[in-house]
Order: sequence, then structure tokens, then C-alpha cells
Amino acid sequence: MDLELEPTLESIIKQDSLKWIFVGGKGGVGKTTTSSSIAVQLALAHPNDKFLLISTDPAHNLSDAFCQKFGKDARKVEGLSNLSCMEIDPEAAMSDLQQQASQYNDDPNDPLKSMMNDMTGSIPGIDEALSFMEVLKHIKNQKTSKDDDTSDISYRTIIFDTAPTGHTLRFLQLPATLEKLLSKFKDLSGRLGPMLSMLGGGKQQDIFEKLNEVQKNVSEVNEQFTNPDLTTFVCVCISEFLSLYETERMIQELMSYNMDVNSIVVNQLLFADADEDPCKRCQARWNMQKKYLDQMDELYEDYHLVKMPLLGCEIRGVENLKLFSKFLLKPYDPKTDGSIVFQLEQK
Amino acid sequence: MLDISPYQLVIASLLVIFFKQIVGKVGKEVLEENGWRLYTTVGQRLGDAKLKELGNRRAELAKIDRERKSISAQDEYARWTKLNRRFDKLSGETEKLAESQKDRKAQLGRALGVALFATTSLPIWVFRIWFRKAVLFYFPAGTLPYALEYVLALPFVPTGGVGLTVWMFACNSVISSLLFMVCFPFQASVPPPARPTNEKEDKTAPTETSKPATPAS
Repeated sequence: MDLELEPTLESIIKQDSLKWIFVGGKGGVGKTTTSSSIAVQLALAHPNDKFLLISTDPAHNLSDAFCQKFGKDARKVEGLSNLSCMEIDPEAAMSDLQQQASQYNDDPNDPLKSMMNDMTGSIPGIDEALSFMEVLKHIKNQKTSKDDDTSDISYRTIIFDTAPTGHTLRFLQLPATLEKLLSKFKDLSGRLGPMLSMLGGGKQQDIFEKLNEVQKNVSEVNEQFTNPDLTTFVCVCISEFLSLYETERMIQELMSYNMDVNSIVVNQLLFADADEDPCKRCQARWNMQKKYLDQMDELYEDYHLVKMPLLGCEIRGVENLKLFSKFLLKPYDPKTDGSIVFQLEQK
Repeated sequence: MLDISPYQLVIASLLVIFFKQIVGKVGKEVLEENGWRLYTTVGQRLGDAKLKELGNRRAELAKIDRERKSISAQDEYARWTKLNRRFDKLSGETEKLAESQKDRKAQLGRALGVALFATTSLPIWVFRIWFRKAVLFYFPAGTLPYALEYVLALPFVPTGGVGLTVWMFACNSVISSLLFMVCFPFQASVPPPARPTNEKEDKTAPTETSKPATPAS
């Protein structure tokens, strides 16, 4: 490994084996812009491959970022034909699943009817896991449903724009929990099996099978996500105390799940040193940002620390994203690139 | 086999019962806690590696925590975060180490329980069964009414004598009363009962009394 890691996301863009890229951080730090930028850069760098950008944030803003309406199904981005986007509401996927469960079993007197729901509510991380599996199923379904160009539709990399709330990836710790729980249940069903079958007419077997299936799926997903060749996580933050603190905590948590984290994008930097007409407030603020940047350089020396500028307006539309995202690969230099700040076309 | 004169028996059972009452008054949990503390300090002195490590870790944790609190998180973010990382790592390890010591603590607790049983309950029951027919002392004939002497001689001693059962009962009640009298001034005061104004307050009226339980044996 290099002693000094270059402050760009080039390794992510160039890496051939990556299948999943997660982009995460607290709300308002520019996750969507960053994930869109990464997706745009990937699509530009590999014009012959397909890429998918998924937002699991209930407050969808991919549509706004690309100035184009997206929905539950993958839709190609206008002007960048090898990038598709979809917006999925994980909560909706979850309630779909529960509805499905109640379809199988519509006996109102069945004491085991609510068991599935109770279980899904009681295991930490299982709702995230289930909704994630729904997302993955959705992607798989898409592959099979459009059978006219099946070879075309398999994505090289899928980029996730994660929700700022909660522990999006808490389910990575799930397999161990589930295994424990399942062995307990098996023990219990061995002892209470006859009684349970009297109560539920043998339906508890379904529940165990279902849980087993969940466990298998989760461990599969887990294996993929903890493999640094397949999956990486990009943290997004701004140069302020609380954002840095949250980022640090997130990195520690991700590392405890054995997930690969080696890039941090610092957004909304002012780069006020080279301004022609100095603004006092910008410079003061830039000084504060620099203070935290120095600290970050010291703390995250073995990370790719990408510094992105704050522009004059919202970054929306494919053209603007292309302009902005090139600084993910080539560090922003306020002297030569300063013109971009007011250059973006307004939509 | 057990050749003890009645006089020795009187004194021995008195001492054992006194000890048992004291133990009951102090409480087994308190004894276990203090025993563990003593064990760890002595163990550390004697150079028990694990205990020593645990002690060192705890001290280091406290040091890091003091350092972390003494600096400003916003001014020295990098240093503060590094301290945080060290603290988290160390506290995780310490937790694991402490967890592994829990077995030892439980073992110590069990040993203490066995020791207490062997020095209190066991001798009492051995005495009561082995010397059930031993007469500790006699009354001169006709000192008490026959009915009373009959009762005092229960269950296995000839009428006119006093056996262990009655002697132990007497010891228990006297010692527990004495202990109560000694402890009473040091107990937390109970609020004086107020006249209940309605039914609701009736239930919450103070029912706490500072009466110590009297053990049966």
C-alpha cells in the first residue's frame, strides 16, 4: 500500500471487481450528490458496462439530483445511457412482506399468525435485513423480467445511496444472532413440538423454514458485503465537529461488521484562500474547515480523503454532475478550477 | 465418637448460633462482595497475572478518561478521537477480561457459601441429631410445674432436664433480641405514621418496621 494515499476515488472507479458501493453519512452532507457523482464517474469510465444507482432513503432525491422522475423500477438516466436509477422505499417492501405472510395464513384464530410479525419485530436488525433482501429480490426480478436483453441488464456495479437514519447496515451482525435464535427455537420445537402442532396445525414448520431461509440469505449477503473486493463503503461528511464525530462512529461501527471502508468524501469546502474578492465570513469559515481538515488528515492517514468544493448553487442534472464529479478523480484546485463555482447551468 | 460434655455443648452451640445470627444480620451478598474485593487485592499483591492485568487496565481506562475529559474535543479533534478509539478498544478488552473473572467470582461465592454452611447450619444440625438425647442441665426436682418441665424436656430428654432443642431456641431468641437492640439506634428512621385521610392513602401508609427476622433454629 502507498504511504501517501491519493486524495481521490480513483481506486474505486478503476477497481474491476467491485459489485456494491455504499454511500453513507448523516443527513444534509451531500450523500445523494456524492453517490450520483460516483455513479456518473463510473458510467463515464466504463461506457460498455451497466451501472445501477439505488436510493433506499424514504425521502427520495435522486429524481431531483438528475432532474428526472425515477420510480420503483430501474430507469435509464437521460444523457447517460449506461446508468440506471431506482428509488425503493424499504418500509414499503417490509409491509409487502408482512402482507404476503398474512395471505398464506388467514385463519383469524391461529395463535401463530402474529408470530412472524412479532419475530420480525423482536430481532435486532432483522427488519433491515428483510427490507434489504426485498431490494435485492427486486434487482433480481428485474433481470429476469426483461428477458429480451438479459445479457445487457446485469449491472457491473450497484451503488447504494443509503438513508441517513438508523443503522442501515446493522443487519450485518444478524447471522450470528439468527443462528443462536434458530438453534434455541429448534430446541424448543423439539420439546414443545407436539403441543405446537396441536395449536398451529403444523404451521410452525413453515416459520422455521422461513427463518432458515432468511438466515441463509443473510449470510450470503453478509459474505458479499464483507468482502473488500466486492464491496466498499464511502463515507460522506462535512468539515464540522459533529459531522466528523458521527463519521468516526460510523466508521468504527462498519469496521466492527468487517466492512471495507477506505474513502471519506469531505463536502462543502469553501477554499476561500484564492478568492479574488475576499469575503470575510467565507474566510473565517474556511479557516474553521481547515482546522478540522488538518485533524482529519492526521486521523485518517490511511484513507482516501477526497475534498470537494462548495459550489454556488445546487448540483442538479447530468451535465452539472459530470462537471462536479470529475473532482472525485482529480483533486479540486481552487486556482485553476475556481471558475466552476458559478459556472453551473441553472435548472 | 463425638465425646463432648454437656457444658462444652452449651457453650459451643451458643457460639455457633451467635455466629450464624451475625452472618444473617450482615447478609451473604455483603460478605461475598467484600470477600471478592479482598480476594482481588490479595491476589494482585501475590502476583496473580489476570487480576493484575485487570487492575492495570482499569487504571489505564480511568487515566484515558481523565485525559479525554480534560481536552476540548473541538480544538484537538484528532487527539480526542484517538483517545476515544483507545478507550473503546481498551474497555472492550477489559469487559472481556472481567467476564472471564466472573467464573472465579462465582467460585469464590460458592466456596464462601460452603464455608458458612459448614460453620453454622451443619454443626447445629449435627448437634441436634447426634446429641438429641444429651441432657444439658437439670432442674432440681419440683422447681417448675410438671407441665412446664415436660415441655422444656421435649422432644427426647427425660422430664426435668433441658435438651439442645430448647436451649438453641432460647439462644436464638435472646441473641436476635440483643442484636435488634444493638442495631436499632443505627437504623434509618421510619417516618411517623400519619392519620389516613382517605382510602388511597390507607394503602400507602408506612408499613415498614425495623424488626429483624427471627430464624427458626
